[in-house]
Amino acid sequence: MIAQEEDRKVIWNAVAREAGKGRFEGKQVLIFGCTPYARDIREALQEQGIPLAAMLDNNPQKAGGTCLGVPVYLPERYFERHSGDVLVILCSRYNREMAAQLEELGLCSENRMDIPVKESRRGEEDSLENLQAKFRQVEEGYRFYLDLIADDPADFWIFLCPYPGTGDIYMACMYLDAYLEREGIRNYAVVVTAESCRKTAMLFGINDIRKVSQDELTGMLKAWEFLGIGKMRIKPLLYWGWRTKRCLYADEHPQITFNEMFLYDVFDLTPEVRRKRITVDRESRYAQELFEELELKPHRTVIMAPYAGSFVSEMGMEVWEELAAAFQKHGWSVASNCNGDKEKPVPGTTPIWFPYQEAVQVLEYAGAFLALRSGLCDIISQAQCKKVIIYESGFNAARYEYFSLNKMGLCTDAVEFVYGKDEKEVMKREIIRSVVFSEGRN
Amino acid sequence: MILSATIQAAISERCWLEGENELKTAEMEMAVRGREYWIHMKERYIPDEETGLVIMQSEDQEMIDTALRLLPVYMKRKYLKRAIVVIEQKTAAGIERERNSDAVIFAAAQQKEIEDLLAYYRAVQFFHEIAVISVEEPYGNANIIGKEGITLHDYVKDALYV
Repeated sequence: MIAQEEDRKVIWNAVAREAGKGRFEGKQVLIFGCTPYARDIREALQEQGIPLAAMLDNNPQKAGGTCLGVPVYLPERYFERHSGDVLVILCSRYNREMAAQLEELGLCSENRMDIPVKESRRGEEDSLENLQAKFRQVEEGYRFYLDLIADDPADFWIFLCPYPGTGDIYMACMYLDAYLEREGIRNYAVVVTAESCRKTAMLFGINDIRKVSQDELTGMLKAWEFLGIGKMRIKPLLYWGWRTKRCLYADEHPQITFNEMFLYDVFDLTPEVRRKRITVDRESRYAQELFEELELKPHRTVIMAPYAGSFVSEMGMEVWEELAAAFQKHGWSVASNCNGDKEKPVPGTTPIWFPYQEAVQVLEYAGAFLALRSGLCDIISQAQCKKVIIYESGFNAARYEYFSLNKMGLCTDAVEFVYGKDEKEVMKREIIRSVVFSEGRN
Repeated sequence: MILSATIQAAISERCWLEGENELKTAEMEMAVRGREYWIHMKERYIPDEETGLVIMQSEDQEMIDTALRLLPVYMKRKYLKRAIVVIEQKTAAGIERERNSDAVIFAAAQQKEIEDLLAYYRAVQFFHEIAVISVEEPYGNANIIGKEGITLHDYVKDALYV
């Protein structure tokens, strides 16, 4: 998740305005909450020449690690250990509670700065006009839904995949067949917003995949949320209720991962159910031809995947570069999985791209995969190769506790690291050892 | 073209009134009534920034008891000084005497009024702090309760009081 443009403007304007007033002078500047807004706040601070001292977060799993290159503390721990004048920036839906917590810790309003982003919890106005405006949104979403299913039979179901991430659709597709069978559903379509989701759903043999815009999908969800299942045969492939995301389980109940949320919460299935995995075309010569074309060594190549969609990693490119150099020194060839102009290869490596349906074969042919956790990791999880997966601890995206491939049972042989939690040099050494010196299946 | 069941339902339920282009549904009527109910509540209880609104949709006694037991934990975590608990009037009658306080106010309502208020909430986030005690479809479910050690207590604490 990244901050929306509207929120980014609010953040940058607020920081510039307060800097203009000299509010940060002589203060240790802290951000409360490892949220997607924190990165924008840090950048806005940097623009003003203001260093970020630390992050505060109430999540014990985040505390003790680093985020945005600075340490993360539980608020009470920070103030136990540090003195001096501070300014704590609040920018979250929980601003009000955070402010109250800081007051309890002895910080007055002068020591904090509230940035009210869109999701900050504020009650909407009670006017009839506002309600009517919401009705119009519902109507728009409902009309779109009716158009979408206009040519379909009466018992038609829509499975909505609201997030563009491939991990979500992968997880949903693993269980979809079992759900369809139990419910006796034969006529359905999977609706997605991203091409990558469409391609992922295709890996599972789903025939009717309809791509719509994010606005169209959000409109349908709003209508469904209001009108309900009686009027719209929609099942969102998403674990949420009314304006809440029930993923707090991840913090309070580490046994619940992304997998369990789909298995239980979304589909109400049992662990005995057979998960569908993607079918690999073992006859394909794609991987062999690709390696010949790129002059990569079969079974002695590390494919690095340093990108994870819109998530901006804190692990700098220099770490990837150092790892690549180390692998090469040990006689391995190294390629970087990159897609599009924005994803540059790790310096000194060969750029590589392959379609999802060939991913498992390509990795097995390569021998090793080193990746920042992304939806691609789900897709290749069944590959018989060395798999080293890096999670980040700072932000919500792809946290180890919730998205670990091993914990989710997608595989048992991934070597997993948490960047920011594990000491950087130790982590690098262990990654090299995992690829170069360990017994592998390559 | 095959006329789908949903379109047929839309016509038979007169979602779009004859001669009009505007969608009208029972849910919308409920939301309008829910708004009126909320305005009435606001006048009566004058909720402020440190007030939370808890809507007990569930009629399940165990869930209600769990939610009431966890209410102080929720209030503490959210730094709320007061909670208004909208609860079905028969249920409220049984608990009011022992639990009513300055901090927790039970607003007894008819089940229909609760449903109206929820219809309004589905359309408009009308207050900054709302917790809905419900596992009803289609907006939520209780599927995870009893799985991997997750109890009703966990579900209310971590999934509803968020």
